[in-house]
Amino acid sequence: MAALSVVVNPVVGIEPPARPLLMKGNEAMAEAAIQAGCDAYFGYPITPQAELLEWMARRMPELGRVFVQAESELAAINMALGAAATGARVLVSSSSPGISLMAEGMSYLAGSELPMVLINVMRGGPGLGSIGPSQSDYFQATKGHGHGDYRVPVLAPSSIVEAVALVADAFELAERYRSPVMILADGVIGQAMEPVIPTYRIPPRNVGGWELSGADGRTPRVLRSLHLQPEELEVHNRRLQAKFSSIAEREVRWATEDLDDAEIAIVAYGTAARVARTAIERAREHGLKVGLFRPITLWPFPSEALSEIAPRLRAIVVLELSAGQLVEDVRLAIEGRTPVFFHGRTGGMVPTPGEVVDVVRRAWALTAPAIQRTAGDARPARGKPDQYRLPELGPWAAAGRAIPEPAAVAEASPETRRVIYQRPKMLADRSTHYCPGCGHGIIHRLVAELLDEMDLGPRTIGVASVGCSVFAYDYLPVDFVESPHGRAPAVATGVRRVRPDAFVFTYQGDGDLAAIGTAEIVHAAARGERFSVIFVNNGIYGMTGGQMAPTTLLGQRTTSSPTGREAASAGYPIPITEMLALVPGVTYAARGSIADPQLIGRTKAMLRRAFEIQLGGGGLSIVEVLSTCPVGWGMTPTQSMEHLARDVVQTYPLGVLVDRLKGAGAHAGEG
Amino acid sequence: MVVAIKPAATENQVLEPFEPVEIAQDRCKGCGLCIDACPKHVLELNGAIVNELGYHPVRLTDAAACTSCALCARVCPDAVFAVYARPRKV
Ligand SMILES: Cc1ncc(C[n+]2csc(CCOP(=O)(O)OP(=O)(O)O)c2C)c(N)n1
Ligand code: SF4
Ligand code: SF4
Ligand code: SF4
Ligand SMILES: [Mg+2]
Repeated sequence: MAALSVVVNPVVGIEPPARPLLMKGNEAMAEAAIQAGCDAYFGYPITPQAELLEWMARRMPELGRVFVQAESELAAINMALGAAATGARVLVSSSSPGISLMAEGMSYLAGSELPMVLINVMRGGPGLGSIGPSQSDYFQATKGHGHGDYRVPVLAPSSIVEAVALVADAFELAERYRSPVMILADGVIGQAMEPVIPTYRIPPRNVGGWELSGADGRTPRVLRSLHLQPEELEVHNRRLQAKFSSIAEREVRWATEDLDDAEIAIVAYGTAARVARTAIERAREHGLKVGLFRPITLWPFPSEALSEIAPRLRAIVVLELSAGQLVEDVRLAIEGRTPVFFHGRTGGMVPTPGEVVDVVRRAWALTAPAIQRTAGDARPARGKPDQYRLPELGPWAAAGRAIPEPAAVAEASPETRRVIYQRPKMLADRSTHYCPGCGHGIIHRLVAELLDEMDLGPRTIGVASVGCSVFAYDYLPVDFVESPHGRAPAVATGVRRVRPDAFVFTYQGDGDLAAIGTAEIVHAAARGERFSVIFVNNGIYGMTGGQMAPTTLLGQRTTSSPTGREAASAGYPIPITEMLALVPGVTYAARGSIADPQLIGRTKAMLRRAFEIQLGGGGLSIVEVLSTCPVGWGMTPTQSMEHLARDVVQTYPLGVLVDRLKGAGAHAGEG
Repeated sequence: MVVAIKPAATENQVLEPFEPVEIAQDRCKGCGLCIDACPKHVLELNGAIVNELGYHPVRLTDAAACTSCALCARVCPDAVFAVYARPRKV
């Protein structure tokens, strides 16, 4: 989006834009970090946060600052650790599953006392969950995240304007306390577009005396979290705890609205607070005196402020986009002095103001005014008034997926019509979610044809990865297990080791296999694991909106390499299949393409060979299939096939890279 | 569910009502890859129809000219085609 017309002069100050800018929350937070003097950004694409990374991909190089799209969140947070160690102002952003991967790094940053700002644009969990907005990472953010005794200040914006302000505050807090600071936003704040007149701020630099710059004329400095002697570590921990106490004393923030005459307070943060505000207006129209208590720092939690107002309330209603996490801190704060009710929606669902008004009504009906309350009635029977109401659920058994009947092919009388080609039986009878002309469809079809021809269906266990093909199990009616992004080879290892009789394959994209999952595929190869890998290289992160992948061609424009991939900053396309072919554990490695019918036929032969090698007891077999992503490449399906045939093969030559059972029959390796 | 689209009747087909290709038009996404692949140029998008996925599906324009080579079926990402051999003349 080119709407940003602010003139920035980081030395003199910032001209506020005269007119409101229409910005997504993700973009506004990114720009706020830039305006706050962020020196370096590290990230990895994930929905619903991708625009933040894309904004940084464009703006940071423009300003001569550092932008790196890391190969994973694990790498991103550790890049941040390194940059922060030199005193740079560093931003990292991600969404829930990626934040989980950052737990280790956060613990090291906290232990080594390094300032850094991490933005979590929360989505529905657990696991891959949904990409809808959620607040289900509250525990993760406020109760430690990684291992060890540490705390991280957590700021929760409830509007885009507030998010912009909190980004600058977060940098300031991070440096003041030499600590990572988290901004806990959610998919609504990240994705919503609002007209904003952002007020940018450059917090004063507050780094001095610990950062690494080369021990020129001074004693060397070591930034570390390792303190092997228990006595020494305890001293370190005491110091950390003293720091956390002073943060807890000095940095607590909250906001209240309409609380003066309120008999019920809704406690909510972020997007839930916005819903609460509308609900409060409606409730007041009905004569219910309701107000809002909104924690802005989730850690330190505004316990004292809440416990002060609690005795004069008849009830507290906690509203969350989760199954109930903040509510635990609320209960701790008020220590049973006021009845607490809870309402939450999960999975990416947002509560409606109507729902909230109903809960408020119920709370009103079930409680007495505070003045009439004796200590005894203040405690509602546990779990009684504050039930969490889930939508109707079927029995557990119904959770499985219905496997569609094999495709009913129009009846043909055999005498008159000899079949030359039919939709394979192992391809479910439904249309796919893939875009028109997407290569995934062709490759799924080849796999289905082979499962048919080799009669493998009944013994197959597929391992689905994370990418556009995440729903492969909807189209290939065999047993399937989902794996976290990049981890399919590890999951497949587990499956194959305990099920030596199964036929096991992974189906992975290039981002999945060659970026975040590089370690897993290399080590599955080293161990010579006996499964087959179908590696779909379309040179892009299709699913998250067309960002640069490790396989993206030099010069190729993507949403995170807007001026074309440059080797100097983004490295070279990674020939991972050639690299894997060097490892003795890889029995077969080949690269095919889907650019025309002949090449499709050759690719199928490669896949067949890979499958046969697994059946014959060989080690890892991998077929890289050069594929298309017309949408991500900004081409028509026809153009994308031409580009594949003409250009992509220049970087990725086709052919069998290694066949260590060559000459031996398919079953030669058996026994 | 597979819907067979009957090729438009032409003079030729009156003599030879054989359908070499069946197109599951409800699953076609109109990507055009089969049209590029067909060596006989007998496939086109049917602008008169929009299927439930929202696309103009492909149709066979000349059944008599189709050689049942099945190249269309081999490139289709949506497995829309079934292809049959022409019966031998007796
Ligand atoms: C830990 C984690 N980080 C990021 C993501 C978001 N994500 C989902 S798919 C994907 C990339 C998919 O690209 P690729 O593997 O090339 O598959 P394609 O969609 O191109 O087929 C990413 C980054 C995630 N699900 N989990
Ligand atoms: S985004 Fe690209 S890879 Fe994903 S379905 Fe669409 S065309 Fe295929
Ligand atoms: S079978 Fe061959 S000739 Fe007939 S429509 Fe398909 S590609 Fe064209
Ligand atoms: S290749 Fe398949 S989906 Fe694409 S236009 Fe042809 S029939 Fe339709
Ligand atoms: Mg990809």
